[in-house]
Amino acid sequence: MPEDSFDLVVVGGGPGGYPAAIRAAQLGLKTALVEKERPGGVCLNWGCIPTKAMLRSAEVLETMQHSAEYGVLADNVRLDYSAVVKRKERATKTLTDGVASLLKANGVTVVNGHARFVGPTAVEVVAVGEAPLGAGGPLYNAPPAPDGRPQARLEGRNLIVATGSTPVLLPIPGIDLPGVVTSDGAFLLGEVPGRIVIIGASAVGAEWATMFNAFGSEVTMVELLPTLLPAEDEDMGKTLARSFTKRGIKVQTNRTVSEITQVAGRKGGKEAAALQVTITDPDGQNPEPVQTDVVLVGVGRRPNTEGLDLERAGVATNARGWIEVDDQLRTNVPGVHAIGDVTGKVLLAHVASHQGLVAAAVIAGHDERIDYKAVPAATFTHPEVASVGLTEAKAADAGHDVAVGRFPFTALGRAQTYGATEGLVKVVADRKYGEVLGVHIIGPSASDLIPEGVLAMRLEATLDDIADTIHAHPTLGESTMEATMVALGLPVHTAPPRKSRSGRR
Amino acid sequence: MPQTTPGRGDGDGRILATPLARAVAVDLGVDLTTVTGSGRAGRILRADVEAATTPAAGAVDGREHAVPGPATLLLRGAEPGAGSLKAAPAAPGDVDEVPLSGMRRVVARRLVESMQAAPHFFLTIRVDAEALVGFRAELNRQLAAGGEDLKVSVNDLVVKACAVLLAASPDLNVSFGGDRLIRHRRVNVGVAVALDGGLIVPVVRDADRKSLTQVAREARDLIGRARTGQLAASEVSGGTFTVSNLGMYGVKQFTAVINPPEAAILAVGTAAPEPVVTPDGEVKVHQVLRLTLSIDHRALDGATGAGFLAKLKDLLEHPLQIVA
Repeated sequence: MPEDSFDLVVVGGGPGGYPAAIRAAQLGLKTALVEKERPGGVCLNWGCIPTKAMLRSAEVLETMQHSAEYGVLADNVRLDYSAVVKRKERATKTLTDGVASLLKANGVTVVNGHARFVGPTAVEVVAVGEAPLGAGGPLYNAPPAPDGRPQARLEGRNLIVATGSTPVLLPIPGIDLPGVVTSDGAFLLGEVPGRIVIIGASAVGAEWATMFNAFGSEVTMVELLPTLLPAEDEDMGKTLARSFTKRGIKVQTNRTVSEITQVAGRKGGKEAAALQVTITDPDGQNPEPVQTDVVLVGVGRRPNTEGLDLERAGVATNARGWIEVDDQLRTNVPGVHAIGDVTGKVLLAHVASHQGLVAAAVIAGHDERIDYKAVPAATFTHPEVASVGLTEAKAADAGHDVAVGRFPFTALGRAQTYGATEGLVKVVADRKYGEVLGVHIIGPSASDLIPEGVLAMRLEATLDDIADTIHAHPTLGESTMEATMVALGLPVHTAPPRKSRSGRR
Repeated sequence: MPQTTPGRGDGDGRILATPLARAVAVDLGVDLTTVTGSGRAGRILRADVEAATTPAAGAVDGREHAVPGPATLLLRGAEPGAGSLKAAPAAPGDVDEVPLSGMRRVVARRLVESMQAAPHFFLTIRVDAEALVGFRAELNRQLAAGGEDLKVSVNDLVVKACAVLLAASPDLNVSFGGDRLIRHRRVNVGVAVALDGGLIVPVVRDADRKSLTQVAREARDLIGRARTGQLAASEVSGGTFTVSNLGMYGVKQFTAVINPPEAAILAVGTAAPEPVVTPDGEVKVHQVLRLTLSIDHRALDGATGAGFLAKLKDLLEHPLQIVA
């Protein structure tokens, strides 16, 4: 059995692990990375990237269906779902191959297999067991092979646990029926479902709703909380709900699912089993049965710590199973760090990446710390949603004297010419100094517009700084500038608010 | 050439501060030249301005930024020592007035503050550095043979030895907190670096937990970047003990001014050949090093300092213990 020792062993090659390994190697550390499937983790293989590729197909389809509005006539526009999937595969393969070659170019030793701790400074690598969802499904959360004898032993002066997380199913009767899937299983459907019920309207659920709605499914969204994207500012969720409803998605907020059963149904003119979902109020009142072909559950994730034998290293997890880390990503065991979803801090790929870079620098002896103050989030629905910082409600709860500026895309030249006028930019600030507390965008290219808000927060820019920055015309980016002008009480392209901010600083 | 006006902040008169920090500073009447920034490249953030107006608190939660930083120390009184110098009479033409750089001002204020607030006392000890110098030479030979682009200096050995001692017996790893003694859980050793027109003390964090070569590598990086002005504010704060070395100038021995809020500083002289009486009574010529410890008498007493120095001497005379 090969044995080798490294300055750093990274367990998991997702968006946290692979940047950590690359940075560590750049900083002169002898680095190994253990990964079960293609590098890139859920993000590249089963999350961010494949869904974005498929959502782009959805966007092209929608654009073509509405092309007459632009004076472009097209007949017989149809969807080839297998080609959509193939295009997604090409994109993910290009990117994961790219990551593999970056790891190689940086001199990282990549070991394929399942890693488990055999002590605080060592892991052994065993063969990967079967994919939980069957052949062709995700391997990132696969158990070790049952007869898995150690194939390699890696000693590390430092270790980084970057094993990610797995979607969870709700404890609802019938949740184990065939046809009930998480985002992982949704990739394996093979065809566009005629009907789909999506439980949970966070980013994952809302993106799949957008996609299947565009592809022609009959989509029902069920969300327990009062608005879609409940982590976002209320204006985002409400605007999205209006847009979804206009597109034909049935939105049920303040509602939950009490039961899923199998019923006889018809599919393609033939008898086929279908699912019946009982949707109720949170207290169980007003039940409504909805028949569907697929149920997609997008409500939460749990840390991938099973089979890692963390206890053999002495790494502590909190009551909910996430690995606790400090602002240098250190666990309770000296030399063992953890990054990404498995820390339960902020379950976003870009946060994992940044944690990975900080952890690598700390291990190389640099004094770096992670700061979660300005973390953007993006949801690739149609229209897109992106945000950074505090919502209006949270800013008020935190005791700020809140000034808000809303600017609708209908009032923006570029949005009108582009033909995408849904949504708004909302800037949340503290009135005293004009400190930017949050920026919330729903509308065209929201995810590409949000960095201005992130930079503003990170550099402690004030409303005036954004309002006084010359933005190119006609661009979507002007919307953020206009929203700050509204917050300052000096809007140029919208009607003045009834209650305006008194003067400029 | 037009007369230059005294610049605020560093040489080019620019102060790196966020827009929000500037607005808060105007509102609170804080002079930004007196504030030390904690952001990247020393950028002054809102929190830095607010901290500069808060009286230095004694409470410490074990994190370095809770220790009174330079800005808070400087703002506690009127500018000490500034008035009398301003009044110095001079015939026009006899003097050139050179506006102080921001760094010079900080150095001036902090050292006056330190000497006035902390009753210093000094202890000197002579160390037979023959084994240390030999150990260093052998270590560097091995590093070179291993292809390492690193040379360990005598100062690195002293820094690491102090860190080892401070971790083992943390008496000196403290700050005087007015009505309490603040014991630091982490051992962060500052290394005084002379610059053109000033002095800066970058900090090797957790030096006790790092290997000698790690300490050496980090010190070399910090010193290099100190000279090119590329240190972040976080890299020059949070020290718990400082080592100052003028050996490279041939200085045999000197006393150093404590770097507040630390309670002790070690002044390291040059290692030079001197007659030494060996344990068996022979007189030999060995490399000899003189160390002078300055101690804040409010926090510590002579015997504590002497005990530390004796242990340090023992460690340096048996250098394998430093890395053991």
